[in-house]
Amino acid sequence: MLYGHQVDLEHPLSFKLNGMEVNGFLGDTILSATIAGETPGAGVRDGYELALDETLAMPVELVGDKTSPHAALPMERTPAVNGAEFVTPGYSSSLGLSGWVDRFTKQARTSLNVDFSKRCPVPGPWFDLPCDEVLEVDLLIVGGGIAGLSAAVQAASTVDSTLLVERRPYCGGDAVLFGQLANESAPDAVISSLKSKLAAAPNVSVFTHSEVLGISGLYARVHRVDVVDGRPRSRILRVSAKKIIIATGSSDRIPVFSGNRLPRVVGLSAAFHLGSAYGVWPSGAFAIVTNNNTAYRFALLANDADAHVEKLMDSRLEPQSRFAEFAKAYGIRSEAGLRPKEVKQDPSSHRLDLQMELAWEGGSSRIKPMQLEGVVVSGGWLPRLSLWQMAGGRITPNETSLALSGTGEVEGVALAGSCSGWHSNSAVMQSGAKAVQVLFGRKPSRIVDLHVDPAFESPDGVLPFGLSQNLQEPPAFFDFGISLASHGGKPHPGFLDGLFGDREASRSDDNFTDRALSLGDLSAMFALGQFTRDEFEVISRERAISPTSLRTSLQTTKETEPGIGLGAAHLPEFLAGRFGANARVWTVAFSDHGQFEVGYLVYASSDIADPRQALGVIVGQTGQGTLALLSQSLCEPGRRVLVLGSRGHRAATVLEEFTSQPKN
Amino acid sequence: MNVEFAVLGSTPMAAVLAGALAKLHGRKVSWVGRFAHPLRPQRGFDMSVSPLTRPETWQLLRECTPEFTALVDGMEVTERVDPLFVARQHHGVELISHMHNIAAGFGYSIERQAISDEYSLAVQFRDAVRVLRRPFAQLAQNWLTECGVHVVPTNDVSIQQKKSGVLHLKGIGETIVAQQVVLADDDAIFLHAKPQQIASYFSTVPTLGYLIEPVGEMKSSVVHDVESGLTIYQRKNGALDCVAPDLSQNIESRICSHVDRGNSVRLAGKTNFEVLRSKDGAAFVGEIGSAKPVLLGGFGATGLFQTPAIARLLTGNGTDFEKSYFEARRIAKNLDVRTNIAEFLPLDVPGNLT
Repeated sequence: MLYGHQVDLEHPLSFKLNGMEVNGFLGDTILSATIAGETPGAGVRDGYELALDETLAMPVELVGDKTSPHAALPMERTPAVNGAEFVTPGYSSSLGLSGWVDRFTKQARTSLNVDFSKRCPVPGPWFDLPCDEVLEVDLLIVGGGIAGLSAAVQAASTVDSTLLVERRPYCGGDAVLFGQLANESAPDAVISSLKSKLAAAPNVSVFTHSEVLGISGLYARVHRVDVVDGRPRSRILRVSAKKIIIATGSSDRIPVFSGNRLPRVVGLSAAFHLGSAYGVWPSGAFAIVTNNNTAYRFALLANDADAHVEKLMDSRLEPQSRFAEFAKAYGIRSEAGLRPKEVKQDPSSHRLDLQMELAWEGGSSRIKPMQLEGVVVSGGWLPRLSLWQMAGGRITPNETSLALSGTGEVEGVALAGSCSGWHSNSAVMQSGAKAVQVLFGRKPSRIVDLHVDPAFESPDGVLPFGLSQNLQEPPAFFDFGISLASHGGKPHPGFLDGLFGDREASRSDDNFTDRALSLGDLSAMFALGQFTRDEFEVISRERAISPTSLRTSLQTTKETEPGIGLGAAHLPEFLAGRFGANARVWTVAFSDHGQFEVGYLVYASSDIADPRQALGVIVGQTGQGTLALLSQSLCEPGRRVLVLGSRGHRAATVLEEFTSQPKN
Repeated sequence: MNVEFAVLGSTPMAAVLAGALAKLHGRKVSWVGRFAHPLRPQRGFDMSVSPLTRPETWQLLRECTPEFTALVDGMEVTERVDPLFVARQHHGVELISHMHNIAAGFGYSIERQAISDEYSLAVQFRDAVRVLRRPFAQLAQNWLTECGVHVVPTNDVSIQQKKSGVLHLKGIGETIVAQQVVLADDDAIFLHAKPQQIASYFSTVPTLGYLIEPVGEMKSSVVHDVESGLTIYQRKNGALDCVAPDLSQNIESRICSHVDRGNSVRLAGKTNFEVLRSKDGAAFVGEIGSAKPVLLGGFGATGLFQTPAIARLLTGNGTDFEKSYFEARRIAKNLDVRTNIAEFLPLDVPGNLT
């Protein structure tokens, strides 16, 4: 398993991505094969490189299949296909000058070279596509970790039709990474057992490679990738469910320090899945930077896979963990009380220079930088609650621990697993079954969560921050993903920027906050004290949203040409009383027989031009002539008046009262 | 603490009114409010022009705008803008035509623009003033303190009216005894006025605020679609702040119509809230029944620029013109009392949802 449970090493394959030949194995995704092929960069933003990972993987298209928006495929969920040729949007096969430079500097092999300065990373076009298919099920389960699988097994015997949707190409989630507590079964054994039971359940369907993009009421929008006739295909499903269980687990947080998303800086969960599913462990010596015990477990798994863990550095002062003890026994070097300060890329060797500093208060002394091939970062865990919030649930941060909880109630929707706050695998499994019981009106069983005394298993530390005062340092991102909200990383100011820069934005040290944000972004900002608990709840509702395109289905029509008013039949309310209670609509004529525009003001004489002293206004044009709403003092046939407006003035004569005059 | 005025509200209008009362009139003032966090989508705009149709309102703005800019001089929170007003349909065209000629009559620089075939009429003001709400929120507290205003940065306050007529503000760690409380924005009114009173005096308009990811440069940094009431402001980096009455999905189409085709118009934030409006569309000033707080509302984007006149009114220093202007806009349940002041009401425009 540690060498890639998804890939078949007996069946190598190759495909092209942006003209590069990528080698992999049957079972790889486009992303896993690309990263395995030493292409750790996604592109560049304002001069700073960004790592390619599952949260910043561009949609790709099969060459020759670009006409339909459905041709776009997610790299991280699309199976690699032998002989296929993929391109990222906007990629040109013509190399151009920079392409030739890249070729000779080997840049093309280490990055997809997407220019994020010109084109912000966007969610896949599937967010905005109409649906291809409608499915109706009794129960929709989102997430194929232990909680989701357990819910599906429970539903198999009690619910007529169940659909489980898992975004990864396989089920199991992060349970193997987290490991088991004493007396619990090994997670991989639990997962195998649950999968076996589901395989025998004809009323449960499992869609892997599929992501739930949004939930509204009891409808879910699902994007699914499958392979038909050897070609990957993208489909949008609208799933109507009587009940929904959200078992989306937790995502890892990123320690916030300069350079935290450079190529070869990898999140813990991403590193674990690349390694365990595809056999893509960090190459060369790498360090682990963390504040939690799971990182020690990862170090053990990586060590088992012969990956070279140079050192594990923990921001907690005296961390206790069974995994830490095992790691020590395996000879993995570790040091506590260190937090990341910055990481930089050596432009010639592409190696990383990692600078740590003492983590305790006042202990800002730097220690000797480490030169590494890679850095795995882990800032703790955040429940994936976006869908819960979309469904109408609340998200409440704990003022002390800064942890997020899904709160409130949503009719027909339940949370299960670690996203609902359960810790141990056994409790996560029970919570899946309980969610089914609760939603379908059965007596719920009691969940027993297992905890280890903090004396033996230290809780996660606070999210490590290493924010530079120098805003031209590489950015410190608040989260993985496409929002790119960050501290610093500002381009060097040009000569005129100080004069013409955006004053609204320039007062902040944070970037890209005018894009949809993630809960991870907001959680980091909350940890930095940028808003209160109450503000967090409001801001998360308003800003942690799906960055969909606005709908433009309705058309507004142009009705009239300028200058042609509605005439006397529909005098607007805002003219009421303007020229006295007895104002009337009369026709007026101009000496040159021309027409005047609505809104031109009528004065008694030419020596007055104050709009407050106007005694009438042009209100329209009919077959009887130009219509004016006039003060009673001007309502006299043959009365000479001056009409004044934006295009000049002309003399006019008052003719007669308009016959179909309404009450003003 | 004893003050003459306690101004409650979390908009620039509330804060500047408090500052004007203290700085220009030497009154003892508390400002009780907390600005929205800068990450939240905008809920309103402050600009020296808007689709107004009453000459006296334009006169007031013409007089007050220079006073306002002088009052906040040094804060660097204003910018010059050339807002565009557009309409597709009869009612909107009519409104813009009237507004155009009145504003031009008061010396505003305003001209027609042929921006696209989609619009029947578009006019553009030159050299209007806009207040940048986010920088204002960052700088206002210092400015208020310099003006001599006692700053209470919270919205969480309760008001008790005593028999003596004074008002006690509590729940803020201190008691403020105010001769006069001014509820200077909608949120303050919603918090402190009785719901049944609000319902009988005002309309409550559900409103949306959008933040849109950066898009290509628009025809103008400020566009106001008069029929829908949609206002779009484009930041220097291309992001859009949009506020509009929540009429229908049509708002999203209208936003998109101002962005060059080929740009995807992607949501970065969305909020919904309620706006108070008088039933005739004009601003309102005054008390509800026997309750002592003075309510200010319905001013739209230009209210902030009228604060010098409002401060004069509250301190008894208003000019005859200002007195008669605000007297006409006194809060009244019976609209017959508020004659000759009605303004354009986007929500009342028939057919604008088609």
